[in-house]
This record gives sequence, structure tokens and C-alpha cells, in this order.
Amino acid sequence: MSYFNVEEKVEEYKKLLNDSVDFSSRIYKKDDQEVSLIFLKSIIDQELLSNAVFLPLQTYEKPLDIDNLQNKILKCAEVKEIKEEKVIDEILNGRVIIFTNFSDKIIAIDLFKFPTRVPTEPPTSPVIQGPREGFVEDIQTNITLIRRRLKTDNLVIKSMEIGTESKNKVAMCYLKDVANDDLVDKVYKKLKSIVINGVVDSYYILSFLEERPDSLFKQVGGAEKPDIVVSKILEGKVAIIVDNSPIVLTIPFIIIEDLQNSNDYYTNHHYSSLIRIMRLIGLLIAILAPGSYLALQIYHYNILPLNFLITIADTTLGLPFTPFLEILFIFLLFQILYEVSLRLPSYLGLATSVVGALILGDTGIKAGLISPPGVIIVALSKIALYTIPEQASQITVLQVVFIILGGALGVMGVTAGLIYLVNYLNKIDSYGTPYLAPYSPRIPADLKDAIITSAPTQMDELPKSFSPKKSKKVEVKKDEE
Amino acid sequence: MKKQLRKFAKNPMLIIFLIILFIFMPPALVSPGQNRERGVVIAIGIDKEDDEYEISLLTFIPTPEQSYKQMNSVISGKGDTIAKSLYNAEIVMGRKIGLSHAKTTVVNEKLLEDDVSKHIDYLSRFASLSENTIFVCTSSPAKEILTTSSSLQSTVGLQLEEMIAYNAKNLYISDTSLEAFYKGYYSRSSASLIGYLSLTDVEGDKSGSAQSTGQGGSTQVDEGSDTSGGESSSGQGGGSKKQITNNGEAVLIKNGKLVEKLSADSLNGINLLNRKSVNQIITVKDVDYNGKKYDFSYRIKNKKITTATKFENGNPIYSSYLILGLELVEIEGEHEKLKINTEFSEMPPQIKQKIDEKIKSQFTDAINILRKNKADVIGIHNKFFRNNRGEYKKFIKDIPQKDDFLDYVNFKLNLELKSD
Amino acid sequence: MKNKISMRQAGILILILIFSNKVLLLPALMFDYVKGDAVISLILIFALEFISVPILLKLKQTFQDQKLYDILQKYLTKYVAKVLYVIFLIFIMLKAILTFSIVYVYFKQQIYQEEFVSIALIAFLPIMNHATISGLKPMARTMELFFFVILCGFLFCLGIAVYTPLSVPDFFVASAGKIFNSIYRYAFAFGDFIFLFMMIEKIDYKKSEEKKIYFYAILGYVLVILLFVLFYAKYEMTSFMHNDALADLLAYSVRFNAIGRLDIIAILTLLFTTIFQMEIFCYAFCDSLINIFPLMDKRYSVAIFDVFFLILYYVFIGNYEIMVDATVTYFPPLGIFIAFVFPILIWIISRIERRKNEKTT
Repeated sequence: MSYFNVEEKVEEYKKLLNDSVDFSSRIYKKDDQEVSLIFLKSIIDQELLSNAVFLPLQTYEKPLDIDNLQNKILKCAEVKEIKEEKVIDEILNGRVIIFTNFSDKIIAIDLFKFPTRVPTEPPTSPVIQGPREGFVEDIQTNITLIRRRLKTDNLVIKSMEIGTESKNKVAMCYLKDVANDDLVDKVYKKLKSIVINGVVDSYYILSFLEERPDSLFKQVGGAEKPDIVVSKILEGKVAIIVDNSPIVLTIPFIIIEDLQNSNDYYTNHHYSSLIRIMRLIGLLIAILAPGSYLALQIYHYNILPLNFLITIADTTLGLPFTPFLEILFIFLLFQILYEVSLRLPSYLGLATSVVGALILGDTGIKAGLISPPGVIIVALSKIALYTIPEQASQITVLQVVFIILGGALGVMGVTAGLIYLVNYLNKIDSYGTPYLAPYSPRIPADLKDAIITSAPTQMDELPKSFSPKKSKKVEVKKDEE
Repeated sequence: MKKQLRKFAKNPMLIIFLIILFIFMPPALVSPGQNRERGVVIAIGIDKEDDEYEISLLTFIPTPEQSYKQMNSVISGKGDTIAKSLYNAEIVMGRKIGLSHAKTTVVNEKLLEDDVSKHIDYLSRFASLSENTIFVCTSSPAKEILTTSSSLQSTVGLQLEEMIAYNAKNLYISDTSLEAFYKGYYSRSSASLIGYLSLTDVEGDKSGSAQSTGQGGSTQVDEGSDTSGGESSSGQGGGSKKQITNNGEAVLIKNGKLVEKLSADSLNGINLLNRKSVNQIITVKDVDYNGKKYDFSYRIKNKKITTATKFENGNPIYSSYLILGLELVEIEGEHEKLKINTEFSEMPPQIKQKIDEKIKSQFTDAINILRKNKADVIGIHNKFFRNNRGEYKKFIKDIPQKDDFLDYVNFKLNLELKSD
Repeated sequence: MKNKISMRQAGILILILIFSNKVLLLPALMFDYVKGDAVISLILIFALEFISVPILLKLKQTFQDQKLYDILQKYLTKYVAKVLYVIFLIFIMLKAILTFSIVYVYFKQQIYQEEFVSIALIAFLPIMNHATISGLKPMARTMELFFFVILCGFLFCLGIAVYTPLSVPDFFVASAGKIFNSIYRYAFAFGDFIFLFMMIEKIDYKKSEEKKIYFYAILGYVLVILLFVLFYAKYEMTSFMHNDALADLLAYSVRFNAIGRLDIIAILTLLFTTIFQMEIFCYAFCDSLINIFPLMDKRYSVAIFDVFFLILYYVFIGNYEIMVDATVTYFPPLGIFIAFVFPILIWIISRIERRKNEKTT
């Protein structure tokens, strides 16, 4: 009795997979028993295949039977029975499919393997002291990295597939006794409702998760390091790991998170308070400095102190540009230099920065094209931008907007713009969490880990901004007291 | 396209931003900025000739330099009102005048011949001129003062200001600003005290850059002491050089009119009663000490002053208790090894007596000046008003001339001297 | 919780309103009338106005989440409620115009140096309208965030003034009659609690947080009184000449001359407070308009506000002296009604309601 014609099956699947070059198959014949193995050699562990599958098959003396095959002969961790309509998916997921002519069961062996990186320190978030591991592209490794830090049965990892073509694995992690149920439901539903052909990186699904996808401001956080993500999961957030992306998304996201840095938690809290104040000042300088300078120069010369006014008047005399055009020109110059240095390989990057900083800046001033105060103001705001590198793209847009407001309307435009900006940010509620919490609205309990931080020993409560299920970080049981 | 338009309509702030972008930005793009459109005035000088005002503006002229450099020049305009002459100066300059950085206002004493507040109304009304603008009076044309100060190619406007600030702090203890003038003008006796500058000719004498003509803490700004040392151009006066001389003088203004010019010495008496004034030297001459005559100079180290007012039998009495801490700073005479530290730790009685006499005479002089001019610049009226309101009001009502109040007041001075 | 403001936010709202048009022109105007006794007159007005706070809290306790309009309608019939709301409309509009024109004149002289009507309007109106349309919650949150900035700016102005020569102003110079008359004359500048009354249903009331409203109201009063006292102590007899009290506290401090123009701090503080005030005015105006015409869309009400504002503004532009004069001659009855009579009316209503409740239980 023959259940499958194994040779036909091989031909059939070869066709279904478009004669791909990495399609491989092998047929064993022993007496009248025929076994065929079908797989894609590009994504399986070939060494394991020969040791754990081929070798036992060849050396097995007795007649094969399907239970024996599944449970005894194949020396692999995951051997399972599948249905025929799933075969293609399983092959594409790196499994070896076995058809036999003595059983109607189809067996899939997981031998998935592809080249991955070792978890190294990501270049975007280096620490001075603290863990240096970063996420990699492989979802399995990433889950391992998180699991290793959270050895609790409360950790839930839900998995799903997104992308009609890419069929990416996406996992959602949270602590079931901390994360708010509404939040978890909402995120789950959002993930389920995503319709996209391919997810190349986690940023592809980021905008699907945002409640206001049109907005300039991101409402979903991203981190490249497991320690950051784990600390966020502990706060009651939901982390979303996407296969093939080293960036893990966290929801909900509020703006204060970008002022926090993992370094802050690995140093003295007095120092980190100071650093956070600096970051805030940096943020304000980055957004407001060029616009305000322009406003002062075009409309409010009388507010400038006399000595500064004299410096400006002396240095801007004879420039071919009006103040507005000058600032726009310098801004453009800096932006070009930035783009170039980002794209070029590092050895050329150094050369461009020399050309940019020394030759363009210095000669520009000497040639009377741009004025030193203008260069200082724009450079200052461009450097201050990188006190919060995560928000660099948003701040750059805001810089342009505030330059236009300051230049066109003066200090009143800048102030009105600032108020509008804050009003707008206050309207964004990222999954029910106020975007500017804990400052507006003020949540006194959360101020401990805001700009002025308290000692870690005093931070015994979970941030209320994310409405977690429990309030204390550690709930001491009564009988332990 | 339609979809995009609808998207715009949904976001009105975007439309507002576009309006700003297309209506407000283009003029701003081509605007050269206020600092190039305005003439920045650092000091104002006002002169009056018959019925015509001449207003001189010390303006800052930008020079294309990469570093800080201040070049000033004086621009003037004439007209029958201040507003008109400012307008004329504006025409001369070819720029709008920006007064917000003006830190000094110099007026010629001719303006003080009648109520000066009538003349400077424009300045007090012009809100962008800040009230802490220094307000000084001068005997020579204000224009010349500005010209002299401008010929130094440094921040002379500031130096002039610093010099006056020193005086204001140490000599006449009045801020000598527009605000201080008005404060006095609207006070109960309508009297105020403002600083006074004069211009003197300097002949070719180069070495005399540090000649000291004044008493007390007078300072000088000599244009010859310019670092270049060469032939820095003189101001107005043809061949002869002019310099601003600061003798620490001040003028007493009553009802907006100049009533008396006070020398630094006579100011000392008034300052004795002023709590804030401590920087003063008291010199007593020809004191017998061990059979020889010496001149002793003491500096007031600290001063404690309490005043009390009362009415006795319907007569106002103003008594001051003055405690002076003195420090011996100089002994002049035929020296025979006078040990400063030990012998003078206790002030010898004869010195004490002399100082006592001196201070009391200074005090009397000061009171006489105040009485003569009916100008209460140390707040005697206020003191009475606060302490004895009812009696004071009644007394003022009863006397024929309200201004004569000071004549009726009995002044008493209790002096205590301390030295260490 | 949805679309409601916390007690703290309500407190900050009232604090910002207490600053409204009292920090620029009012000290000079009042000094001109009653000299140093303006402080006494101010304290008296504040004491009278402060009664509104307990009344407000009682009203909130009694009626829970009912709207002011519904309460008025229930007790005073629909027509009276509408008439009252029309009075509110007039009050708010006049106050908005007055605040705007005073600030406009100040900014014209101090920072723009020339007419800048179009700039002021394009900067102010959209922000006001946007805040109104997006609702009270983001607006109150924004104020909460900038409250710290405003407070610091204000304290800075007061703090600098302490470093300048001060003298104790003379009190009790004017007669008692004149002091009481001044309460009447300047009543229009007060009566800010009306805005909280109008937003009463939006306040997330918690009994334990009642002291927050008291705290912010008292803080506002103390700061304004301090401003008056310091201003008079600094300028003495010339106070009437200084129309921009808050900024003038910073000026004329010779010691700080070297730093340059410090009044940028006052300018920014004023800019923030003014924009927030105008937002509240716009919101309250539209709110009462919607109450009078229940079918009206929010966007239309904002448009009506803009139209009225522009018309009135262009009438008064350039001659805000007329406006200021009108506030002391024609508007005082309106101010007296809003500031002192209306809270008593509300108090009576809430008392009747409480009696009723006690009987039923």
C-alpha cells in the first residue's frame, strides 16, 4: 500500500517553489520503503541535517514505521506532524519535510538556521557603564535576551505573523500582572488589523500602531538594547519584537522617555538629574535658538544688550544676505554637511567635516558671506539637537518652522508657536497616556523619575502614567513581614 | 488632489502656517533687520538757543569688522520742539532713530532756566527710552560734551556713564536719572538733585593727563590719554582740546529750575544725613598734638544714622543721631615718628572736638543750603508726614507759604565718633 | 475623567486670570486716583472677590456635574439665564479687547517699535481659536506646563525690584470715601471667578483637593499685591507715569544695567499670560454662545468671536485711551455685577438647593 508517491511529491513542490536554486531534495529507498526529504538548503542547518537526519536514516536497520521515525530515529528537537496545505509555509520557514510511501502523515523537522549577528553594543545607544548587549535581527535571539532578564511566569510572549508576502514573525511581550488590560487588548487588536505586504523593519509597522499616524511626533518608542526594553516592560509597557529588526518597539510612548537615557540609571541620580536638565536646555536651544535670534535681529534690536548689538551690527554689515536668508543659508549648509557625513564612509566623513567646519565656515565668514553670530547660533542649535538624538528628525522640522515663525512674526510668533506646539502635544494621548506626563497633567508620583530624579531606593512605585495594574514595584506579602 | 485639499481644510493650523509662509515671510525675507534700519543712539544731548532746540545724538556707526568695535559719531538736528528737532536729526542720519539704548541724556543749563520738565516731556513720553537713562546737566553745550566723548574711539559712551555712576553712588547719592529727576519733581518739595558736568580747555600740555583739580572723588576723562597717544582729533573747539571735567558737582533743581550749583564739598554736608553715603574723607587741620601742628584725615568707615521727628509746642523738631566710625588714613605735618597704630587707637580729644566742630558746621551749611532753596532733597517732609501726620498737615496749613516749612524746623544733631 | 480638568489645573487657571490686566496699566491708574492707598483698595477688592471661592466649591458640591446654564435655567427661568449669559458675553468680549489693547500698546512700544496689528492678530487669534476648538483639557494642561515659567518670570520681576532703592509707600493718604469709590471705579478689572463658574461642570471635583483652589487663588492675590506694593515702593510719587508695572519693576535698576535689557523676562511672562488669558476668554465666549444658541456648532461660535473681536478691535485701535476711560466710567456696574453680585446670587441658589436636598433625605 502506498500513501504518497514520493518522487511525484518532490517534483510537485519543486514546481510550486518555482525551481528555486536553493531547493533541495533527497530520496531514500530501502526495500520498498521510500522516504523523501524536501527543504531549502539556504535556510537550514546542513550539518545538523546530515548528523541528525541522514545518518540515523541510513544506519537504521529495521523496516521503518512512521512512529519510529518521528520519535526515535530523527535526533532533532522539534519533529512534528503537519497537514499538507501547510507544507509550503513550513518549507519556507526552514523545515525539512518528510513524505513517506508507508504513511499518510507528513513530518516536519525544524532545522532552521541562517546567519545572525552576535549581540553587540548598538552604535546608537552606547553606555559608559552598563550592559553592552544589543538586539540582533533574529527574533529568537531577541526573545532569549528578554527572557534571560525576566525569569517570571508573568511574562507573556504572544506571537503572530504580519505581512502577506514577508510573513514576518512579530512577538508581543508584557507582564500580565502589571500591564493594563485595555492597553494589551488595544495593541493586540492593532497588530492583528495590520494589512501590509512586507515588514522589512519594525518601523514598517510603527505607524500602524500610532494613534495619530499623521503626526510629526512618534507615539511608539523604539530601543535597541534589551536592558532598556526590559525596564520598560517592567513599567507595564508592551514591547513588540519584529523578526529581522534589531529595534524593539514599546507602547505607550511619552516624550519624557527620550529625555531619559539608560546611562542615567547606571550613575548617581544627582548627576543624572543634572544631565537631564542639560538635555532639556539643549532641547529648548535646539528648537528655539535660530528662530529667536532671527526675531531679535529683524524686529527687536532694542532688546539686545548694546554690546551684543554692536557685535551683530559690525559683523553683519556688508553681508550679501538679509538676516533671514543668512540663517536659512547657514541652516542649509549645516544640513547638507550633516547628510553627507552620515552617508559617507567614516574615513571620508572625517574629510567632509574638515572641509565643512574649517573651510566652509571659516572662509565663509572671512569672505563676508556669513556672519560669526549666525554661524554660532545655527551650529549651537544643530549640536544641541543631539542631546536627544532620538528626536533629531522631529526637532529639525521644528527648527525650520520656528525659523519661519521667528523671522516672519518675531518673538510673538515664536511664543505663539511654542504654545501651539505644547497644546498640540497635550492633545496626543498615546494609548491613553498623556504625552507630556508627568508634567502636564502633573502626576506627582511619577515626578521621581522625570527631570529631577530621586534615588532608586525611593522609586518604589510603578509610573502611574501608564495606569499599571499594581502600584508598588514590589508587593511585600503579609506573612513575610 | 481633492483629497489633499480636504486634508488641508481639516487642519486649519496648516492654512495659518501657509498664510504666514506666503504673506508674512516674503517681506521678512527681504527685510535687512532693525539693526540696519535704525540709528542706535547711545547718548542724547539737548541745547537751547533762544527758542530753538538743538538735539545731538551720539550714534553708533557699524563698521565691517569681525570683532567688537564701536565707532560713534554725533548727529544733530534743530527745531522749535524736541520732537521736530529729533525728526530733523533723523533726516540728517537717514535712518529711524532708536532711542532704546540711550543711556545718557545731557542737557545744557539753559534749559533749566525755566521748568525743564516742559522741555523734556518728549523724552518721558517716549516709552522706549528707558527711565534709568542718566540725566546730567552741563554748563557748556551738550553737543560739545558728546563730540568730545565720541572722539575717543572706544566705548566712551559707557565711560561717561561709568563716571557718572561713580558720582551717583559716592558723591551726590542720587541716581541722577530721568526717573530720579521726576521723583524729586513730584515730591512734596519738588526738588531734585542731578549731576553736573563741565568741559574745560586743555592746552597743549600732554603730561597733564592725570592732573587733579577736584576735591573728593572727582575723576577725569582725558581724551589725550587715548592709547594711540597721537593726535587724536579734537572736538569742536578748533585748535584747543577739550576734556570733560568731573568735579563731582551737582545742581539743585526746584520746580524744574536750576537754583544752585553745589560743589562736592557742600554735597558732603548733605550726604552726612544720607544713610547710603559712606565714602567720605574728613580732614581737620592744625591740630595741636604734643605741641606740634598736624593735619589729620579720617575716612568714614561706617555710619549709622537714626532720625526722629516730633512737634514740641507746635514747633517741628528734626533730630538726627549720627554715629560715625572713623579710620585714620593720613597725618600731615612735621613727622616725628608718629606711631599710627598705638597712639591713635583712641581718638585724642582735641581731634574729636575739631571733627565735631567740622561736621556740625558742614551740617549747618547743608541745612542752610536746603533752607535757602526751599529744597528738601533728603526727605524731611516725608519723615514728618510719616511720623507726625496730623500735626504736620495742620502746620503746613497754618504757615503762609508751604515751601517755607524748612525754615520752621529746628534741626538737632547728636554726633558720636568712634575710631579704631 | 474625560475632558475634565483637575483641581490643580483649575487653580492655575484662576491664578493666570488673576494676573489678567492687573499687572500692566492698573497700578498706575489706581495710583493716579488714590495714591498709595491703591494697595488697600486692592486688598479690599480681593477680600470681596475671594468669597467666590467657597461659593464655587459649595456650588460644585451641591450640583455635581451640572452646567451653570442648567442651574440658572432651573431656578431663574430660561430667559433670565439667557440674559445673564448675554451679560457674560459682553463682559468677556470687553475684557478680551481691553486686555489685548493694553498688551498691544505695551508690545508696540517695547518690542516691535512700530505698528504690528497683522502680526499680533495672526499670532493670537489662531492660537485662541485652536485652543477653544481642541477643548479645555489640552488648554488647561498647557497652562499647567507653562505655569512654572510664568511663576518664575513673575517672581524674577518682583525679586529684581527688591534690589533697587525702595521706600515704604504712604498709606491712608486718600479719604475713605475715595478708597471705596476706587473699588467701584476699577471693578471691571476684577471678577475673574466668573470663568470658573462657567466651566464648573468641567472640573474634576475632589473634596481632598479643595485646598488647591484656595492655594492658587491666594497665591495669585499675594503676588499681585506684592507687585503693587513693590511698584509703589519703587516709584513713589511717579508711579502714575509708569504704565507697564511688571516691566518697569525690572527697569531702572542701575545695578543690573551691565546685563542689558532684563525686561525680556517681563515681556515673555506677559506674552505667555496674555495668550493664555485670551484663550480662556475665547473659550468662555464660545461656551456661553453655545449655551444661548444650543444648536450652534463650535466652529461657528469661534468664527463669531473672531468677527466681534476684529470689529471691536479696529474700533478701539490706536485710541485705547478711550477704552481705558470707558472701563472707569461706563463699565464699573458690569464689573460689580460679575465680581460681587453674581457670586451672591449663585450662593443663594446653591443654598436653596441644599435645603431642598436636606428635606428630601
